[in-house]
Amino acid sequence: MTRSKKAIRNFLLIAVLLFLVMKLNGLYFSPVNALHASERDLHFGPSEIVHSFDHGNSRYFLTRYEDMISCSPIDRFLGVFWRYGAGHGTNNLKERPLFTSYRSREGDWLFYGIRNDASITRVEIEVLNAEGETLILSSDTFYENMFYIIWEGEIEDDALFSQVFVGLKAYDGKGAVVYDSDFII
Amino acid sequence: MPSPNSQESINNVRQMPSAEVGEFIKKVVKRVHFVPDRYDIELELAAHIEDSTLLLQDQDELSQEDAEKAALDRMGDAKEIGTALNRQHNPFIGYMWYFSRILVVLLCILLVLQSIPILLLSGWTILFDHPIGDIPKESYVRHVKPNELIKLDTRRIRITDVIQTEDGSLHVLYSSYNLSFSSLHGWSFSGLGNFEDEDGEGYFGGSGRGTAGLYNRSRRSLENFPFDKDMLIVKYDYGGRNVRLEIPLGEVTNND
Repeated sequence: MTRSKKAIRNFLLIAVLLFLVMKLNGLYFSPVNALHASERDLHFGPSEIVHSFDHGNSRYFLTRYEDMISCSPIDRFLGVFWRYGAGHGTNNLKERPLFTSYRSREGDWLFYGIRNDASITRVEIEVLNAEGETLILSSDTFYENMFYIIWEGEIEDDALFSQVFVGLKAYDGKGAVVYDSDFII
Repeated sequence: MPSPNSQESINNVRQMPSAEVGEFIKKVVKRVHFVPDRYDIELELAAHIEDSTLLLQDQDELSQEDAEKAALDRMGDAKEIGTALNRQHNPFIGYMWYFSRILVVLLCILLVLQSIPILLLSGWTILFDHPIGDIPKESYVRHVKPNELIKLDTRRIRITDVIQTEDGSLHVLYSSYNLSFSSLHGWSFSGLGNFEDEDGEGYFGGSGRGTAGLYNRSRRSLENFPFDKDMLIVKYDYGGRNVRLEIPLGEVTNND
Protein backbone atom coordinates (compact mmCIF):
# COMPACT_ATOMS: atom_id res chain seq x y z
CA MET A 1 0.00 0.00 0.00
CA THR A 2 1.39 3.39 -0.93
CA ARG A 3 1.89 6.06 1.66
CA SER A 4 -0.92 8.20 0.24
CA LYS A 5 -3.33 5.26 0.48
CA LYS A 6 -2.18 4.63 4.02
CA ALA A 7 -2.79 8.30 4.85
CA ILE A 8 -6.31 8.10 3.37
CA ARG A 9 -6.99 4.93 5.38
CA ASN A 10 -5.72 6.68 8.52
CA PHE A 11 -7.95 9.70 7.93
CA LEU A 12 -10.97 7.45 7.55
CA LEU A 13 -10.00 5.70 10.79
CA ILE A 14 -9.56 9.08 12.49
CA ALA A 15 -13.06 10.13 11.40
CA VAL A 16 -14.59 6.97 12.89
CA LEU A 17 -12.51 7.13 16.08
CA LEU A 18 -13.17 10.83 16.54
CA PHE A 19 -16.89 10.22 16.16
CA LEU A 20 -16.71 7.56 18.88
CA VAL A 21 -14.62 9.75 21.18
CA MET A 22 -17.07 12.62 20.68
CA LYS A 23 -20.01 10.31 21.39
CA LEU A 24 -18.33 8.93 24.50
CA ASN A 25 -17.64 12.39 25.84
CA GLY A 26 -20.72 14.27 24.66
CA LEU A 27 -18.78 16.57 22.38
CA TYR A 28 -20.16 18.46 19.40
CA PHE A 29 -18.70 20.82 16.85
CA SER A 30 -21.68 23.14 17.21
CA PRO A 31 -22.99 24.56 20.52
CA VAL A 32 -26.54 24.46 19.18
CA ASN A 33 -26.20 20.75 18.41
CA ALA A 34 -24.84 20.18 21.92
CA LEU A 35 -27.76 22.09 23.41
CA HIS A 36 -30.39 20.21 21.44
CA ALA A 37 -28.74 16.83 22.01
CA SER A 38 -28.73 17.35 25.76
CA GLU A 39 -32.33 18.55 25.70
CA ARG A 40 -33.33 15.49 23.69
CA ASP A 41 -31.74 13.22 26.29
CA LEU A 42 -33.78 14.99 28.95
CA HIS A 43 -36.85 14.41 26.76
CA PHE A 44 -37.36 18.11 26.40
CA GLY A 45 -37.33 20.44 23.42
CA PRO A 46 -35.83 21.13 20.98
CA SER A 47 -36.34 24.58 22.39
CA GLU A 48 -36.48 27.78 20.41
CA ILE A 49 -33.29 29.78 20.88
CA VAL A 50 -34.23 33.35 21.63
CA HIS A 51 -30.75 34.68 22.23
CA SER A 52 -27.27 33.39 22.94
CA PHE A 53 -24.29 35.03 24.58
CA ASP A 54 -20.79 34.04 25.59
CA HIS A 55 -19.55 34.29 29.14
CA GLY A 56 -16.29 32.77 30.32
CA ASN A 57 -15.78 29.46 28.60
CA SER A 58 -19.47 28.91 27.95
CA ARG A 59 -22.18 29.92 25.58
CA TYR A 60 -25.51 30.55 27.23
CA PHE A 61 -28.78 30.04 25.40
CA LEU A 62 -31.96 31.84 26.37
CA THR A 63 -34.60 29.44 25.14
CA ARG A 64 -38.32 28.79 25.17
CA TYR A 65 -40.15 25.55 24.82
CA GLU A 66 -43.90 25.28 25.23
CA ASP A 67 -44.55 27.22 28.47
CA MET A 68 -41.04 26.69 29.75
CA ILE A 69 -38.02 28.93 29.66
CA SER A 70 -34.39 28.12 30.26
CA CYS A 71 -30.95 29.62 30.07
CA SER A 72 -28.57 26.74 29.57
CA PRO A 73 -24.81 26.95 29.37
CA ILE A 74 -22.87 24.87 26.87
CA ASP A 75 -19.17 24.69 27.62
CA ARG A 76 -16.39 25.03 25.10
CA PHE A 77 -13.88 22.18 25.17
CA LEU A 78 -10.40 22.06 23.65
CA GLY A 79 -11.13 25.07 21.50
CA VAL A 80 -13.14 23.28 18.80
CA PHE A 81 -15.69 21.21 20.69
CA TRP A 82 -18.78 22.04 22.69
CA ARG A 83 -19.72 19.82 25.55
CA TYR A 84 -23.17 18.40 26.13
CA GLY A 85 -24.92 19.43 29.33
CA ALA A 86 -27.93 21.74 29.22
CA GLY A 87 -30.64 21.75 31.84
CA HIS A 88 -34.39 21.47 32.05
CA GLY A 89 -36.76 24.28 31.44
CA THR A 90 -38.79 26.01 34.13
CA ASN A 91 -42.50 26.63 33.74
CA ASN A 92 -43.28 30.27 33.13
CA LEU A 93 -45.93 31.34 35.63
CA LYS A 94 -47.85 33.69 33.40
CA GLU A 95 -49.92 35.19 36.19
CA ARG A 96 -46.77 36.98 37.38
CA PRO A 97 -45.77 40.17 35.56
CA LEU A 98 -42.20 38.89 35.61
CA PHE A 99 -41.14 35.29 35.92
CA THR A 100 -37.54 34.63 36.86
CA SER A 101 -35.15 31.83 37.59
CA TYR A 102 -31.46 31.56 38.34
CA ARG A 103 -28.47 29.26 38.22
CA SER A 104 -24.94 29.41 39.51
CA ARG A 105 -21.82 27.74 38.25
CA GLU A 106 -18.14 28.16 38.88
CA GLY A 107 -18.54 31.40 40.76
CA ASP A 108 -20.91 32.97 38.26
CA TRP A 109 -24.48 33.84 39.04
CA LEU A 110 -27.04 33.95 36.29
CA PHE A 111 -30.41 35.51 36.76
CA TYR A 112 -32.85 35.26 33.88
CA GLY A 113 -36.51 35.35 33.13
CA ILE A 114 -39.37 36.51 30.98
CA ARG A 115 -41.67 39.50 31.21
CA ASN A 116 -45.32 38.57 31.04
CA ASP A 117 -46.29 42.22 31.34
CA ALA A 118 -45.19 44.02 28.20
CA SER A 119 -45.03 47.38 30.03
CA ILE A 120 -41.87 46.24 31.87
CA THR A 121 -38.83 47.93 30.39
CA ARG A 122 -36.22 47.38 33.09
CA VAL A 123 -35.45 44.66 35.60
CA GLU A 124 -33.37 45.35 38.66
CA ILE A 125 -31.96 42.82 41.08
CA GLU A 126 -30.32 43.52 44.42
CA VAL A 127 -27.67 41.08 45.58
CA LEU A 128 -25.08 40.97 48.34
CA ASN A 129 -21.38 40.87 47.71
CA ALA A 130 -18.74 39.26 49.95
CA GLU A 131 -18.60 42.31 52.22
CA GLY A 132 -22.32 42.18 52.75
CA GLU A 133 -22.88 45.28 50.66
CA THR A 134 -25.85 45.48 48.35
CA LEU A 135 -25.17 45.61 44.64
CA ILE A 136 -27.83 46.67 42.20
CA LEU A 137 -27.68 45.00 38.80
CA SER A 138 -30.12 45.73 36.05
CA SER A 139 -31.06 44.92 32.50
CA ASP A 140 -33.19 46.88 30.08
CA THR A 141 -32.54 44.59 27.13
CA PHE A 142 -35.21 42.07 26.27
CA TYR A 143 -35.02 39.33 23.68
CA GLU A 144 -38.56 38.36 22.78
CA ASN A 145 -39.45 39.30 26.35
CA MET A 146 -36.61 37.29 27.87
CA PHE A 147 -33.71 38.88 29.69
CA TYR A 148 -30.66 37.89 31.69
CA ILE A 149 -28.25 39.36 34.18
CA ILE A 150 -24.95 37.60 34.77
CA TRP A 151 -22.26 38.51 37.24
CA GLU A 152 -19.28 36.97 38.93
CA GLY A 153 -20.17 35.93 42.44
CA GLU A 154 -18.16 37.35 45.24
CA ILE A 155 -19.51 34.91 47.75
CA GLU A 156 -18.01 31.44 48.05
CA ASP A 157 -18.95 28.86 45.43
CA ASP A 158 -21.27 26.84 47.65
CA ALA A 159 -23.38 29.85 48.63
CA LEU A 160 -27.11 29.54 48.08
CA PHE A 161 -28.83 32.09 45.91
CA SER A 162 -31.09 32.91 48.86
CA GLN A 163 -27.96 34.10 50.71
CA VAL A 164 -27.07 36.43 47.86
CA PHE A 165 -30.47 37.60 46.73
CA VAL A 166 -32.03 40.66 48.34
CA GLY A 167 -34.82 41.75 46.05
CA LEU A 168 -36.18 42.11 42.57
CA LYS A 169 -37.98 45.02 40.96
CA ALA A 170 -39.36 45.56 37.50
CA TYR A 171 -40.11 49.02 36.17
CA ASP A 172 -42.20 50.37 33.32
CA GLY A 173 -41.08 53.02 30.85
CA LYS A 174 -42.02 55.84 33.23
CA GLY A 175 -39.96 54.36 36.06
CA ALA A 176 -42.91 53.09 38.05
CA VAL A 177 -42.47 49.79 39.85
CA VAL A 178 -44.54 47.13 38.11
CA TYR A 179 -43.29 44.16 40.08
CA ASP A 180 -41.51 43.95 43.41
CA SER A 181 -40.53 40.64 44.96
CA ASP A 182 -38.42 39.39 47.82
CA PHE A 183 -38.64 35.89 46.41
CA ILE A 184 -36.51 34.43 43.70
CA ILE A 185 -38.98 32.27 41.84
CA MET B 1 11.85 -0.30 4.76
CA PRO B 2 14.17 -1.96 7.31
CA SER B 3 12.92 -2.41 10.83
CA PRO B 4 15.02 -1.05 13.75
CA ASN B 5 16.33 -4.59 14.34
CA SER B 6 17.41 -5.07 10.76
CA GLN B 7 18.95 -1.61 10.82
CA GLU B 8 21.03 -2.62 13.83
CA SER B 9 22.21 -5.75 12.05
CA ILE B 10 23.14 -3.70 8.97
CA ASN B 11 25.15 -1.38 11.16
CA ASN B 12 26.94 -4.34 12.70
CA VAL B 13 27.88 -5.90 9.37
CA ARG B 14 28.60 -2.71 7.41
CA GLN B 15 31.66 -0.67 8.00
CA MET B 16 31.41 2.93 9.10
CA PRO B 17 31.35 5.08 5.92
CA SER B 18 34.38 7.23 5.31
CA ALA B 19 34.26 11.03 5.67
CA GLU B 20 33.77 11.46 1.90
CA VAL B 21 30.93 8.98 1.77
CA GLY B 22 29.40 10.55 4.88
CA GLU B 23 29.60 13.98 3.29
CA PHE B 24 28.00 12.69 0.08
CA ILE B 25 25.14 11.05 1.98
CA LYS B 26 24.64 14.19 4.06
CA LYS B 27 24.31 16.28 0.88
CA VAL B 28 21.73 13.85 -0.50
CA VAL B 29 19.52 13.61 2.59
CA LYS B 30 19.65 17.34 3.18
CA ARG B 31 17.35 17.64 0.15
CA VAL B 32 14.87 15.10 1.52
CA HIS B 33 12.36 17.16 3.48
CA PHE B 34 10.51 14.27 5.05
CA VAL B 35 12.88 13.93 8.00
CA PRO B 36 11.61 10.55 9.36
CA ASP B 37 12.79 8.87 6.10
CA ARG B 38 16.29 10.35 6.19
CA TYR B 39 17.80 7.66 8.39
CA ASP B 40 16.61 4.83 6.16
CA ILE B 41 17.87 6.67 3.07
CA GLU B 42 21.26 7.14 4.73
CA LEU B 43 21.49 3.41 5.44
CA GLU B 44 20.44 2.46 1.93
CA LEU B 45 22.90 4.84 0.31
CA ALA B 46 25.74 3.72 2.58
CA ALA B 47 25.01 0.08 1.79
CA HIS B 48 24.77 0.80 -1.92
CA ILE B 49 28.09 2.71 -1.97
CA GLU B 50 29.78 0.00 0.07
CA ASP B 51 28.56 -2.74 -2.29
CA SER B 52 29.70 -0.71 -5.25
CA THR B 53 33.12 -0.13 -3.62
CA LEU B 54 33.60 -3.85 -2.95
CA LEU B 55 32.65 -4.70 -6.52
CA LEU B 56 35.10 -2.18 -7.93
CA GLN B 57 37.82 -3.46 -5.62
CA ASP B 58 37.23 -7.01 -6.89
CA GLN B 59 36.70 -6.22 -10.57
CA ASP B 60 39.21 -3.45 -11.16
CA GLU B 61 41.61 -4.33 -8.38
CA LEU B 62 41.44 -0.81 -7.01
CA SER B 63 42.50 0.21 -3.56
CA GLN B 64 39.75 0.81 -1.00
CA GLU B 65 40.20 4.56 -1.30
CA ASP B 66 40.15 4.61 -5.12
CA ALA B 67 37.27 2.19 -5.33
CA GLU B 68 35.24 4.36 -2.94
CA LYS B 69 36.03 7.46 -4.98
CA ALA B 70 34.99 5.66 -8.18
CA ALA B 71 31.81 4.43 -6.51
CA LEU B 72 30.92 7.98 -5.48
CA ASP B 73 31.60 9.19 -9.03
CA ARG B 74 29.28 6.51 -10.38
CA MET B 75 26.54 7.63 -7.95
CA GLY B 76 26.35 11.00 -9.69
CA ASP B 77 25.45 14.41 -8.34
CA ALA B 78 24.37 14.36 -4.70
CA LYS B 79 22.01 17.31 -5.14
CA GLU B 80 20.23 15.68 -8.07
CA ILE B 81 19.87 12.42 -6.20
CA GLY B 82 18.57 14.33 -3.18
CA THR B 83 16.02 16.19 -5.29
CA ALA B 84 14.83 12.96 -6.92
CA LEU B 85 14.58 11.23 -3.55
CA ASN B 86 12.64 14.19 -2.15
CA ARG B 87 10.10 13.76 -4.96
CA GLN B 88 9.87 10.07 -4.19
CA HIS B 89 9.55 10.67 -0.43
CA ASN B 90 6.95 13.43 -0.81
CA PRO B 91 7.07 15.41 2.44
CA PHE B 92 3.42 16.46 2.28
CA ILE B 93 2.11 12.91 1.92
CA GLY B 94 4.82 11.68 4.27
CA TYR B 95 3.85 13.99 7.11
CA MET B 96 0.14 13.39 6.49
CA TRP B 97 0.76 9.68 6.84
CA TYR B 98 3.13 10.11 9.80
CA PHE B 99 0.90 12.36 11.93
CA SER B 100 -2.33 10.58 10.98
CA ARG B 101 -0.73 7.35 12.22
CA ILE B 102 0.14 9.00 15.56
CA LEU B 103 -3.39 10.40 15.86
CA VAL B 104 -4.96 6.99 15.16
CA VAL B 105 -2.86 5.43 17.91
CA LEU B 106 -3.69 8.19 20.41
CA LEU B 107 -7.42 8.00 19.65
CA CYS B 108 -7.35 4.21 20.01
CA ILE B 109 -5.65 4.50 23.41
CA LEU B 110 -8.16 7.13 24.54
CA LEU B 111 -11.12 5.04 23.40
CA VAL B 112 -9.85 1.89 25.06
CA LEU B 113 -9.15 3.70 28.34
CA GLN B 114 -12.58 5.30 28.33
CA SER B 115 -14.49 2.24 27.20
CA ILE B 116 -13.09 -0.32 29.61
CA PRO B 117 -14.82 0.96 32.78
CA ILE B 118 -18.10 1.49 30.91
CA LEU B 119 -18.02 -1.95 29.34
CA LEU B 120 -17.13 -3.57 32.66
CA LEU B 121 -19.95 -1.75 34.41
CA SER B 122 -22.44 -2.61 31.66
CA GLY B 123 -21.27 -6.22 31.61
CA TRP B 124 -21.71 -6.47 35.36
CA THR B 125 -25.25 -5.07 35.08
CA ILE B 126 -26.22 -7.39 32.24
CA LEU B 127 -24.79 -10.50 33.87
CA PHE B 128 -25.20 -10.08 37.60
CA ASP B 129 -27.15 -7.02 38.74
CA HIS B 130 -30.87 -7.44 38.24
CA PRO B 131 -33.13 -5.52 40.65
CA ILE B 132 -35.60 -8.41 40.48
CA GLY B 133 -33.22 -10.06 42.93
CA ASP B 134 -34.25 -7.44 45.51
CA ILE B 135 -37.67 -9.04 45.76
CA PRO B 136 -37.92 -12.41 47.53
CA LYS B 137 -39.72 -14.88 45.25
CA GLU B 138 -41.74 -16.37 48.09
CA SER B 139 -43.38 -12.97 48.67
CA TYR B 140 -44.87 -12.75 45.13
CA VAL B 141 -48.65 -12.66 44.96
CA ARG B 142 -48.88 -11.80 41.31
CA HIS B 143 -46.37 -11.45 38.55
CA VAL B 144 -46.81 -10.40 34.95
CA LYS B 145 -44.26 -9.88 32.19
CA PRO B 146 -45.67 -7.08 30.05
CA ASN B 147 -42.61 -6.79 27.80
CA GLU B 148 -43.88 -3.36 26.73
CA LEU B 149 -41.50 -1.08 24.87
CA ILE B 150 -41.63 2.68 25.38
CA LYS B 151 -39.83 4.90 22.89
CA LEU B 152 -38.89 8.26 24.33
CA ASP B 153 -36.77 10.17 21.83
CA THR B 154 -33.70 7.97 21.41
CA ARG B 155 -34.28 6.16 24.70
CA ARG B 156 -35.78 2.71 24.70
CA ILE B 157 -37.45 1.52 27.88
CA ARG B 158 -38.83 -1.97 28.25
CA ILE B 159 -41.10 -2.84 31.15
CA THR B 160 -40.06 -6.38 31.80
CA ASP B 161 -41.83 -7.41 35.01
CA VAL B 162 -44.55 -6.14 37.30
CA ILE B 163 -44.64 -7.96 40.60
CA GLN B 164 -46.91 -7.48 43.55
CA THR B 165 -45.69 -8.78 46.88
CA GLU B 166 -47.68 -9.81 49.94
CA ASP B 167 -47.00 -6.49 51.71
CA GLY B 168 -48.99 -4.73 48.97
CA SER B 169 -45.99 -3.24 47.18
CA LEU B 170 -46.11 -3.22 43.43
CA HIS B 171 -42.68 -3.46 41.84
CA VAL B 172 -42.24 -2.26 38.28
CA LEU B 173 -39.03 -3.54 36.69
CA TYR B 174 -37.71 -2.07 33.51
CA SER B 175 -34.60 -1.91 31.43
CA SER B 176 -33.45 1.04 29.38
CA TYR B 177 -30.76 2.14 27.02
CA ASN B 178 -30.22 5.21 24.92
CA LEU B 179 -29.38 5.01 21.24
CA SER B 180 -27.52 8.30 21.64
CA PHE B 181 -25.22 6.69 24.23
CA SER B 182 -25.89 9.64 26.54
CA SER B 183 -25.58 7.40 29.61
CA LEU B 184 -21.85 7.41 28.90
CA HIS B 185 -21.48 11.08 29.58
CA GLY B 186 -24.79 12.53 30.56
CA TRP B 187 -27.80 11.58 32.53
CA SER B 188 -29.50 8.27 32.95
CA PHE B 189 -33.23 7.77 33.02
CA SER B 190 -34.43 7.91 36.61
CA GLY B 191 -38.19 8.00 36.43
CA LEU B 192 -40.84 6.24 34.48
CA GLY B 193 -43.54 8.87 34.88
CA ASN B 194 -46.65 8.64 37.04
CA PHE B 195 -48.46 5.52 38.09
CA GLU B 196 -52.21 5.11 38.40
CA ASP B 197 -54.70 2.32 38.72
CA GLU B 198 -57.72 1.87 36.46
CA ASP B 199 -59.75 4.27 38.61
CA GLY B 200 -57.27 7.10 38.23
CA GLU B 201 -55.81 6.78 41.74
CA GLY B 202 -52.18 7.89 41.75
CA TYR B 203 -49.32 6.11 43.54
CA PHE B 204 -46.38 8.23 44.52
CA GLY B 205 -44.83 6.71 47.63
CA GLY B 206 -42.21 4.02 47.39
CA SER B 207 -38.64 3.38 46.53
CA GLY B 208 -36.51 2.37 43.63
CA ARG B 209 -33.07 1.80 42.31
CA GLY B 210 -31.31 1.61 39.00
CA THR B 211 -28.05 0.30 37.68
CA ALA B 212 -25.45 2.25 35.76
CA GLY B 213 -23.79 1.71 32.40
CA LEU B 214 -24.88 1.53 28.80
CA TYR B 215 -27.74 -0.77 29.66
CA ASN B 216 -29.66 0.02 32.83
CA ARG B 217 -32.02 -2.09 34.83
CA SER B 218 -34.29 -0.33 37.29
CA ARG B 219 -36.94 -1.06 39.85
CA ARG B 220 -39.67 1.27 40.96
CA SER B 221 -41.65 0.05 43.94
CA LEU B 222 -45.06 1.53 44.73
CA GLU B 223 -46.36 1.21 48.28
CA ASN B 224 -49.81 -0.05 49.19
CA PHE B 225 -51.15 -0.87 45.78
CA PRO B 226 -54.58 -2.47 46.35
CA PHE B 227 -54.85 -6.17 45.58
CA ASP B 228 -58.26 -5.67 43.98
CA LYS B 229 -57.00 -3.39 41.22
CA ASP B 230 -56.55 -5.06 37.86
CA MET B 231 -54.60 -2.50 35.92
CA LEU B 232 -51.49 -0.40 36.29
CA ILE B 233 -51.37 2.69 34.12
CA VAL B 234 -48.02 4.28 33.40
CA LYS B 235 -48.25 7.91 32.33
CA TYR B 236 -45.39 10.03 31.10
CA ASP B 237 -46.26 13.60 30.23
CA TYR B 238 -43.38 16.04 30.10
CA GLY B 239 -41.83 18.29 27.53
CA GLY B 240 -44.35 17.41 24.85
CA ARG B 241 -43.77 13.68 25.26
CA ASN B 242 -46.85 11.68 26.13
CA VAL B 243 -46.89 8.00 26.90
CA ARG B 244 -49.75 6.03 28.35
CA LEU B 245 -49.40 2.36 28.96
CA GLU B 246 -51.99 0.03 30.44
CA ILE B 247 -50.63 -3.08 32.08
CA PRO B 248 -53.08 -5.79 33.15
CA LEU B 249 -51.90 -7.14 36.49
CA GLY B 250 -53.51 -10.57 36.44
CA GLU B 251 -54.93 -12.63 39.28
CA VAL B 252 -53.73 -12.41 42.85
CA THR B 253 -52.55 -15.77 44.11
CA ASN B 254 -50.99 -16.95 47.37
CA ASN B 255 -52.37 -13.94 49.21
CA ASP B 256 -53.18 -15.21 52.65
